[in-house]
Amino acid sequence: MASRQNILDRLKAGQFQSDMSSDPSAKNKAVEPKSLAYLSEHFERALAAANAEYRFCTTGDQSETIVKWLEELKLHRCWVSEGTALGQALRQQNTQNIQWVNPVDPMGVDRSEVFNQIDIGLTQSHSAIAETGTLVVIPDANEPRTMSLVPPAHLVVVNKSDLFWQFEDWVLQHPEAHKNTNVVFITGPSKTADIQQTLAFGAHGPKRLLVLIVE
Amino acid sequence: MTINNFEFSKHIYLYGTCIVDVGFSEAGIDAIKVFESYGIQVHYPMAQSCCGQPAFTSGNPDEARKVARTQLDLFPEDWPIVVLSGSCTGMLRHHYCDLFRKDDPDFERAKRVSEQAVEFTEYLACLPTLESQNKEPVSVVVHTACSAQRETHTQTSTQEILKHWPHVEQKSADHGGECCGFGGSFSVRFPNISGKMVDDKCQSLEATKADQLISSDCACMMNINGRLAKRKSDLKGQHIASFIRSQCLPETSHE
Amino acid sequence: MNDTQPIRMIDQPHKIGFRPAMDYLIDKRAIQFPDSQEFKTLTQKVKWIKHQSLMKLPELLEQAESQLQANGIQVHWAETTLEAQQIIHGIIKDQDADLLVKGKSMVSEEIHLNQYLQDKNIDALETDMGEFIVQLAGEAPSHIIMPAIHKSKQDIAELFQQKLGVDYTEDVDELIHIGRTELRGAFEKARVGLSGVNFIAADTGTLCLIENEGNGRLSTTAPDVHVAITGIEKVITHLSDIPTLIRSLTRSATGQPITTYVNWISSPRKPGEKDGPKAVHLVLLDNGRSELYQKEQQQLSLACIRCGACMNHCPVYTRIGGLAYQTTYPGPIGKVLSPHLKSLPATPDHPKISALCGACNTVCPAGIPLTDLLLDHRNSATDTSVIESMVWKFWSVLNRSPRIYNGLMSWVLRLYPILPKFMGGWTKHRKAPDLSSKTLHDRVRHYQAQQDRSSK
Repeated sequence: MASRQNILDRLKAGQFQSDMSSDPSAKNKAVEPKSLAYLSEHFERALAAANAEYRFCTTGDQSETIVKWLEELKLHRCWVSEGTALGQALRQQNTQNIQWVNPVDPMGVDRSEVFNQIDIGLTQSHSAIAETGTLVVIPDANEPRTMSLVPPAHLVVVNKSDLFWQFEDWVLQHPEAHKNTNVVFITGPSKTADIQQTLAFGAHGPKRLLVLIVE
Repeated sequence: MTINNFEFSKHIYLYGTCIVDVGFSEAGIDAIKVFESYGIQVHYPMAQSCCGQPAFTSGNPDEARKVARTQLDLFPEDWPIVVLSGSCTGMLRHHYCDLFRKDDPDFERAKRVSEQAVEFTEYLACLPTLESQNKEPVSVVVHTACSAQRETHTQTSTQEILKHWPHVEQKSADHGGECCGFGGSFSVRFPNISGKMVDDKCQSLEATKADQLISSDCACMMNINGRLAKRKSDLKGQHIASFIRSQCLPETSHE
Repeated sequence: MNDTQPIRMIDQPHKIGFRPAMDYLIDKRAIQFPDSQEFKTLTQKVKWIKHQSLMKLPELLEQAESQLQANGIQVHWAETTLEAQQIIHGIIKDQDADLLVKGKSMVSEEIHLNQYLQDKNIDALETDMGEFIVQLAGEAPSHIIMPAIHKSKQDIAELFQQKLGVDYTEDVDELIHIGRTELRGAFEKARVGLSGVNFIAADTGTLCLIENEGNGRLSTTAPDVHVAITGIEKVITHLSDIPTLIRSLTRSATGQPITTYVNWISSPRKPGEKDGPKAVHLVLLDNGRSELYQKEQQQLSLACIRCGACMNHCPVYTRIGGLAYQTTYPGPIGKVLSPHLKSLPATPDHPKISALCGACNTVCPAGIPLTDLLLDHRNSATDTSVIESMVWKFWSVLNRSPRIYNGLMSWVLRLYPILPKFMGGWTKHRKAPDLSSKTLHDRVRHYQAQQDRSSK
């Protein structure tokens, strides 16, 4: 293709000259590993700073805590996978006001339902980053991308033991992460300050981000 | 005490700069008097004119180089070249090596000048503490030129000097670090935008209600004073050498 | 748009100016960088990453292309604006679509994509709130991060009432909700979505997109086809470089430690997956970048990570606003880049409309010496008038000859008090300067003579 060749030829005829001769990161001091208590404290603070809402539970009372939370917020139609342990456990719960849904073809025939009739998407997280209060969500066949995006609220479950300190650490410790179609790092609900620098939530993504931290 | 590797020297060159020469010439004598009070002998090369900055920043490096080359002849000894302008010091120290590259016959001479050049307050801060004769309280607001802020850090050396004078209250202006709008050719090419910048600057300086406005940079002062006068302000800026002399050598203030 | 007429910038401050908006962004950034030494250290890291990548740009692009293709992403190369427009139009036409939902992309602004598609009866709908607002108003974005920064909430309330038929409201939450509702329908039905790319990781063939609103994710997830477009300089060596780049970019841009969403896209929908685009395309745009790459010094501007900090801190931008530049990229980076994306004769005012104050250099997270590059443009200017050239020649002769200089200046000062004081633009805003009664040269001569007399 001519354009490709022309562009590459022009680039190869040039030479980028930098005044830097050594990698400044080589001078990095070794960072002491952070304790779980440290990570956890920072994580909570960062979640709050990012306007995410969070609650705690144990592995034992996960489903109950979720149901209670959803009922409090009057969120009735909840999109949760049928193929995950969590999704199955939730469907066992005694819930009067909550309808668990799982559209089979979310961006196909079920598109309208996904865009218009679901109150909240419920996903697991792969892990989380404490410094910035970030949830790492890796969509898959069970929990598609639109689950954490289209409904006006998103509830994400994270294990405290899956906390990493900084984004830099996370990337170095997950060298295969890119093999997933999509990895999304979520920090708080959707927001914008485009109108007179005034912060508002729920621009396009979920207006509320609920984080359930499993001890 | 040494900052930036400058030590006390019994002899110094004084580089007045073209703006001080025609607009604030009394400041040059004030600077000489201050240095003489230390027993320093001040040498003023009579052939000095301009460091070349106005041509350099407006995109005329060849003309700037021609003028700068003549300035290299002025300083045969290894004495500090004390410059009465932060931005001109920046020109000598950082940009002469842009004008005189390695293949230029004057490269070594230019390098020497760039190493010897030091701004007035920068050098004064290297000398033993200056005592103030005047103890009457006075409030000042200091304006620092942009290039002085970033290249020679005169705001730091000014603090070093003034911190020893408790009778001097320093006011800080809102957006005090912002450009006054001079920018050499910029104020001529875009007078309305420049005019707005200098007006905003004057507003914020006046709002400090300081008694005095002082600066290491007289190009800025000329710009700001022009607007202050148009605003019929009581405030009028002077070179910091004049202020320092008025505090340290008040009885000598008549030439 | 006529590309042969030079763009002249108007010497007029904006009637309101942008001080509150710029102060908001300046303050937010300052909170993230309380320690200037830490900022310098981070800047060195970012600069190293960008420079290392730029030093091997052609090889890196080839590697990126190979990895992206192995991942199932189709790669297109566009030398010119027209080629990029045609490629994107072709992809949309193949889908028989007449609607394109757009995530924020300054490169798509650069190629004037919306107008091109409009002429071909395809609706290119901006979904970033700021871009949506300026599109409704028929304006260009005035800032690369906050496109509608020049509009007050009253402006937007009126605009929405006029163009969308809603009730007038200045409540920001309500206005955002109106925007969301208005655009929801488009996301629901659009079959092609477009986005920019913040960084392309060459080692893994991954596209990295950052945003706060979620419209980027929606534009790249909901439609069947995702087209990404970006400049060739956006490719970086390692995916693991991204956290450092983001650490600086989001703090520099909006004072956020990280954006709401950081989105890594490595392939189209895989078998078994229930959503995501079935096809992903990447358009690599040149439009003058490869020529810029060949220019020593000026090539440094390719390190830009598009944070906008330079314009936020620029005293000129603060007073004139982004639209005054009439180029896709405003502010200091716009003044440096536009002569390359267009030509220097086409943008003669851009390098000159600066006091070279250097506030931009101080905050640039990629260490680009913006004022040096502006000065370099000034040195290459081809529109210097005869009068101006003569002025500098005269100045040069005067300052090279001590005798002429001293003599002339002494006389000027003597005559000055009686001369009329109209100095064009200078005295429009200022009283003419009070020059000294004597030059410093004369004062020193006199002083030295006095000292000689008194020592005798």
